[in-house]
Amino acid sequence: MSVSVLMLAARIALAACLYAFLALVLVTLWRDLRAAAGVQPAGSAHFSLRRLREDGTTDRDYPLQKESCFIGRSPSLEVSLADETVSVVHARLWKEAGRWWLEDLDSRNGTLLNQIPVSKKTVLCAGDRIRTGRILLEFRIEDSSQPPAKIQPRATDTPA
Amino acid sequence: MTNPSRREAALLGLALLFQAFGAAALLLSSSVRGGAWTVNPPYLSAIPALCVWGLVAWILHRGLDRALPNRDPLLLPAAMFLCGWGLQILVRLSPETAMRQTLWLFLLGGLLMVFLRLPPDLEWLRKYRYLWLGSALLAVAATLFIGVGAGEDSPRLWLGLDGIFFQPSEFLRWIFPVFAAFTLAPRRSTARGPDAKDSLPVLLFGAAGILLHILQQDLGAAMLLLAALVLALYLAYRKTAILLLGAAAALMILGGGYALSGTIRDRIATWWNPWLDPSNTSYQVVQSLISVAAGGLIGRGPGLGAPGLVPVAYSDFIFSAVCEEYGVLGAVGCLTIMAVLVLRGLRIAIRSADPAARLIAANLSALLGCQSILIIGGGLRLLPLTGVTLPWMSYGGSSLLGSMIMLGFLLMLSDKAPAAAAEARPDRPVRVLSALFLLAFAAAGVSAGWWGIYRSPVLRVRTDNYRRVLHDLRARRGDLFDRTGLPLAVTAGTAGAYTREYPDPASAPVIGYTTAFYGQGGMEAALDPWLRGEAGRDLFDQWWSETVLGIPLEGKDAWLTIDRSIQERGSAGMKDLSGAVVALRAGSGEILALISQPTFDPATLQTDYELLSRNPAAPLLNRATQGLYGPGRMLYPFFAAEAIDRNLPDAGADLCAAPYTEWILENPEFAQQVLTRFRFDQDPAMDLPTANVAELVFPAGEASIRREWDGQGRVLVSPMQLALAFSSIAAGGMAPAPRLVYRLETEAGWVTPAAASHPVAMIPAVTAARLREILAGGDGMAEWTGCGFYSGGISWYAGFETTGDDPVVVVVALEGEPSDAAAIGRMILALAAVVGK
Repeated sequence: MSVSVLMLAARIALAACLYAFLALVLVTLWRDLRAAAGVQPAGSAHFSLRRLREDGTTDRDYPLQKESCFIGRSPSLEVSLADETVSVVHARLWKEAGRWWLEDLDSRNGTLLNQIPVSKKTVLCAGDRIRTGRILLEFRIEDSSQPPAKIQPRATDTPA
Repeated sequence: MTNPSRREAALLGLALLFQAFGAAALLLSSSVRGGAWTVNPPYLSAIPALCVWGLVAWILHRGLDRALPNRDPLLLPAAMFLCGWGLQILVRLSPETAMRQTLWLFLLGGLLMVFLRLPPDLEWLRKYRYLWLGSALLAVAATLFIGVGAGEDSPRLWLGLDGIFFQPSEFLRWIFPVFAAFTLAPRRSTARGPDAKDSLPVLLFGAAGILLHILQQDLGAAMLLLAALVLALYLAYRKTAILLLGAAAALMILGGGYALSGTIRDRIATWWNPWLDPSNTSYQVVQSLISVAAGGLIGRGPGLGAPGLVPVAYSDFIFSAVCEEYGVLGAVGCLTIMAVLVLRGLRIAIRSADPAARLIAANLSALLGCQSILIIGGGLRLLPLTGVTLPWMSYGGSSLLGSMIMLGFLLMLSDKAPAAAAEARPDRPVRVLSALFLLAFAAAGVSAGWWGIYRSPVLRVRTDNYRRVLHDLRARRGDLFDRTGLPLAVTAGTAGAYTREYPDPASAPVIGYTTAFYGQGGMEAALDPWLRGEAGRDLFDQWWSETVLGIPLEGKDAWLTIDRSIQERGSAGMKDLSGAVVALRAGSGEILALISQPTFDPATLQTDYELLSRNPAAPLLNRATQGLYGPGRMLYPFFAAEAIDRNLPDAGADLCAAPYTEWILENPEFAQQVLTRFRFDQDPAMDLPTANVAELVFPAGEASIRREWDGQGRVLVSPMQLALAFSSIAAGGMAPAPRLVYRLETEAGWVTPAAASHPVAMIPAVTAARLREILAGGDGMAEWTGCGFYSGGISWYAGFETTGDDPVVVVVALEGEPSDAAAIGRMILALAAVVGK
């Protein structure tokens, strides 16, 4: 009888370990999903587009200070790129529901997001590469206070 | 925020605890089985397996911290959890195999460390991809000529070198997606994705590989390679049509295989309906389903089930073992871990900035998912059976090597992927795949629940569930005694080696038999729940003892109404004549004797069954309840009873055929009325199987009626039916409900259960009294015989006591040459008359 009770205890412990493992896995998944869903640091976050050279080094940064910014050749735009492959008003970036979105504005050479053509409005994540014409831009989120490890931008210097 | 490395360590710690408790449970299981403190020595190999597992997990975790600090923290724990679980089951199924697998784990863990130290740009793979793929294809092709098979007729899938066997298809399975990824990934960041002509080498080499696998008759590997090809193209070109085309191609291969290969036809046929041939072609599937059913919701517990009964449980059917010993709950947990592994792999693909990395991560994780679903689905009858291994869990060095390399790629690519979560990016193919795999794993979980819980009661009682035999060796089956307490069927031996003994061969037709392969018969079948100890216990109690604690139920004893001495004396009196004897009490319905000759020996039935069932003398037939004979003259008293009831002239005179023939000719329903009134057209409901003629019609026409009187007509009755009809005469018009169970032992004392039927009023008491006068022979006895020519070769005797309120009725029917049924009948009547008095 006592053996059976011990066995039962071992089996219960076994099941507890299995489901504790699963619970921890699911908690991790949930955290990642939340991070991915753009629960971004609200007040202290600083958004910018970084123009990269062909060798991957930084050309210059364009801070995104308004809720809605335009990319294009026109000098009056927030992100003004003096390059003939960029349309006058090429694409739009705007903040909606706590996340940044990208939209191509019928540009001649198209907009690529991580090498995929942007055909409708698309959510941006930190580290995303946006190509307008031959100009490569990186979408950056910086948090001066304490950035969460999960969404901290990294490997910014690797070439595409 | 949690540090990913610490999260990984925590998960590995939980996995280690799972391993440790699993090993502890396994070591305890031998004591639970034996009832005393013992340890089954082979199970001790759980300890080295646990140590090696822990060591490998620790080394990999520490090594990864240095090599890939930004890796996905879920991949390694999920993979190691499954790997350790697989080891646990292997220790339980085949300790020797488990030791070899432990060695493999150790070696391949080291190999993984080396792999992770390789340059992460995978340039060494990209540059020489044709060389890698070409050598893999050559190795597979080589198996066609110098391959080694697992058995004489099995496909030759292995390459052997000095006792080390390697399955090249496992190598091809992961090198092909890598090749396809590098060929299809655009090297320059163009908008359009890969060119259509880039797909040419992929298609060509993919088709060659599939063809090789088909030639090998390895359906599973062919399907997986096809999946790899379709996935590569779908992921690269992002067209849903490719998936549909791939499904069509899979169906075509299956169709072609169905038409051309016997093996594949069997596989598909047994998937469609496994119940047709459960002992031959679908043996594996049926045994696998029974194994799942045996587990139920919470499983039998590690070491307490019998998953080894499923062929190749350590490889193809390891998931059935999970279901049996860890239950549906464990199976669902296992499936969840697999799903997490696959979905995390796909997530790495979404996050990868490099298109080649995306293709490799997505394709390899999808393949991992396909392979798991293919073999799990095969064991659960969701899909046709394909002989692929279950990644991480099945035994096999090549299989573990493949899984390890896939893990290596995923870890490496997860480290390279941008740390930012990027689930919102438009990657439709990967999303579609994620959804499909989520669905597939959910379907597998539902299916495990279906067989393990919903269909479990039906599957568990199948006669080809050999767990019942094993159970009977451990659980004491209740004994059967006659009414005086003499043993009829007893359980002998000690726990773990119980056997069933039958001291009285003459009682075999009543006792029946209990065997593993041929099921049960007679009272062994009728009282089975009782003898097993299930009846009369509340369900929770039973579940707690048997399922939760693993203690078999103690069987309960039963006493039958038959008297062993009458059985023995009657049987001796019949010598070697064929026939039957029924002796019962007309008032209470208690059956005092029930003899049928020839009969069988229940103790050796297991070995003799085939012979017995083919024997033309039909020894397995219970002639007393199932034997149908022409009654002939034996019907006279009942015609007389009907005539008396109807006040026909000369009704009470001597019994003879002439007036009955006239009455029947005058009034055709007269005879039918007799048959119905005395229930010759119905089964007497009782604990033993009975028989009657489906449509009992008394013929019209003088010649036919005469044949009936000679016992050579259409009317057939069993000795049991006749005995009940005579009981109505003996006991004031009522025929009793026949009963064989004298008393049963319960916690509250002895009880007498209700009979299977109710007493039947056949004739008025006056009529019965009148007939007793007509048949009376003095000494308080009455009798009636029919024999020889007049009864179609059957010698009949019916006799009963004319006094007392529970008179004994005896009916004897002997086949063959005219013989003295009356002498045997009178002897039994005399013996039975003093029983219990």
